Amino acid sequence: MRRILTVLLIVVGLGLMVVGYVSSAPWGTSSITDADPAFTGAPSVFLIGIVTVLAAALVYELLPARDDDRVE
Amino acid sequence: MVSDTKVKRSLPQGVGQFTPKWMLFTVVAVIVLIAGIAAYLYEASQGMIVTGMANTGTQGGVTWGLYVVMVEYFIGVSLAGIVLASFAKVFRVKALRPISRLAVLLTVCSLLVGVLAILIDLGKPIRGIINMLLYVRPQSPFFGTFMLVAVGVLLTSLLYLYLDGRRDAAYLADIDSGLRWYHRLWAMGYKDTATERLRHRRTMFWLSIFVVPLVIIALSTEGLVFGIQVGRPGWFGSLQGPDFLVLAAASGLANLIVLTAIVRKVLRDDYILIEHTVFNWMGGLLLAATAAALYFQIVELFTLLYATPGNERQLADALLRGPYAWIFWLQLALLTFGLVLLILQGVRRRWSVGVSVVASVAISTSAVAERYLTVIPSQTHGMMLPYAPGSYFPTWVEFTVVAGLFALGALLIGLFIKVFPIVPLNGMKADQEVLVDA
Amino acid sequence: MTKYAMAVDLDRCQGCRGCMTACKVENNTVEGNFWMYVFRFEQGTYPDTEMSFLPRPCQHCDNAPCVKVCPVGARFHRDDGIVLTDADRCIGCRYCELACPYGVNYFNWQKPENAQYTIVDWQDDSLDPVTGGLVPPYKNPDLDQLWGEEQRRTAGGGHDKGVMEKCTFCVHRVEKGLDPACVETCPTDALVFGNVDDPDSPVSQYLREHQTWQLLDEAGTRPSVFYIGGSPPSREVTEIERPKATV
Repeated sequence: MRRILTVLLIVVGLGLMVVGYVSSAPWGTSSITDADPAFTGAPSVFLIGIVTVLAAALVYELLPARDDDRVE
Repeated sequence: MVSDTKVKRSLPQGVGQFTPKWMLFTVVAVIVLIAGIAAYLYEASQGMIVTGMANTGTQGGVTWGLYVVMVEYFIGVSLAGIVLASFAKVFRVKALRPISRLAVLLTVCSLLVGVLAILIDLGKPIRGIINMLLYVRPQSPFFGTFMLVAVGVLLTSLLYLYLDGRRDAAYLADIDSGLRWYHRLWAMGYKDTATERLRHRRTMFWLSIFVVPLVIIALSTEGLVFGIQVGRPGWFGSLQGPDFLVLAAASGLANLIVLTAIVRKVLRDDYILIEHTVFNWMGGLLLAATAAALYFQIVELFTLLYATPGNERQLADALLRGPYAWIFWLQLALLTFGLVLLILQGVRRRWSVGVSVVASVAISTSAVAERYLTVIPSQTHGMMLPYAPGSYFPTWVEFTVVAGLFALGALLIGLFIKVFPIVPLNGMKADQEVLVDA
Repeated sequence: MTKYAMAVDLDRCQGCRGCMTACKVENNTVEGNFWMYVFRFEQGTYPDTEMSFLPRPCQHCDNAPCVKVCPVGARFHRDDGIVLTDADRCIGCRYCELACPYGVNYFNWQKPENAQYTIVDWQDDSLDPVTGGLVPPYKNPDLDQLWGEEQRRTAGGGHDKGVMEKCTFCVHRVEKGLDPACVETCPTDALVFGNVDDPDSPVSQYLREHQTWQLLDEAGTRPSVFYIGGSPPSREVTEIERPKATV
């Protein structure tokens, strides 16, 4: 449970970072809009990605112990 | 430690004891901080006209002044702390463990102050925060400054500081004191069972491994801010990133040495907690970093000497014998002086705290000067179009705000020391109260 | 397609700086800010000296360094070649000013109202018959409109404290089919403006008939301003007669 959640958070966080990064600026276009992100607030997705990855460490460490964890 | 019976113990390392000397320090720091805030409010109401800055070119000023110099300095200082702590953690360097928390604290505080300095430098600080969240573009190096440094590294360091202190917090939470609620909150239910301890160690290990590349990548973008600019003399170049990191390491270690010496003095009876060997370690590391920084300086000096006629030559003249010459040669002299002191100690294999502090102050001052020389002269001399040379001198507003930033950093560190043990308890001797192994 | 460009004929320029004044009047830029600037250069030692002039508007680069470094997309490049600043987006980091090799960016260091020229006391009631109460200070009403298909507040100067501004090629005039104020004013027709994608436009004809060079070609910025005659400024020249106005 703990491990699954941790890995999940890292994967989701990295995914969000990739999405946020790519959509923060549409590459290779030359229109007026190329100065703007694909959608307003795309950089926040990147930021949430960073926070999610870091949250993985918190979850791994702070998730209250349950019986199945004791077996480790 | 899990025992339910309350143990009669006092908080270690002077935590919770607000001594007169500490109060005096705090009052002074608060006064300087208030002065800084007042100066900034004055600036915010009048506009940045009250600073010494003006537009480059026809107005003959600099558009990035002392604030950006200090941003570069503070963010640079933050490098060494967390990297040193991670290094100690991963390679299990026992000697460095007593200062690992102080090191991470230095990273956190200097980053906070550095990020604040960025906001202070913006013409529209609040819009700056909002628009950074809505629109910040990866093509601009400020993406790195904002996303990687201000968010990534800062949050990671805070997380590191928090998680690393959790075990100690659990220990303190058992002690009846006014700060118990705080330590309980920090411990967040940590019981120090074998499983928990294993898990804690694992988290810290991986966090330590994760943080080093993050910090190096993030802080390199601070050098790139200048390195990718072709429009200014002396900026464009691939060395800006590494150069920034090397000087950052030196200035960070220098600040850490000074802080360690102060903390050691403050802890008085407990000073044995920080053994003399940490100065050997840090002195050696600072020696390496300073030597590398000096190497970069000399490489740069030679390049300047051979600058071809043109705007690069104008900049070189301004640096070597023009209006910036005294700063240039002074910072080179300070860096060399610091290095010589360190080498002398290294050769004799005797690291004195006093001499190390003197060397550190010299190196740190030299780092401020070097950041100044990176940012300022390229804006006043050797512009690509033949504008007449400009000049810049900071006003009292800028000096007061910067003093306020230093005061804020000192205040944060001072406060932390009084609410949490600055030397990790698990680094204590076995014959003392806390029997926790590393 | 439309692609705007400006031709600057240095053989015609007499350094009168009328364009600088026209720009100020049109765009209400604050004291000390010169979106259009005319260098006056001196070369040699007395009595063998030579003067030369170099008008320097924003070069409206196709590969604009300022657009690349802007962290929030306040500085952008339109398809028609005009590079503009969105006064409502700019956060005042001033990175564009440092990225620009030409030095065309001007920051509002204080409230623009406080930085207008104070040769005249605008509060003087006796001015009312002349100004019709439009001052202080006179503000071109077009400057607060939204322009272009992007519909952003990009025209004119003196918008707000703490934002960056620069030459807009007078976007508010160009959108109406007029020439920029500097071009309109130039008494010797040293400045020619127009659509280079239209082979019959005056600027196209002018550029076809003359040899051109570009300012700081080596910076790779691909400017939309073309110079004719004269020569690129060398390091031997000295800038003289800088404007006295400061921020």
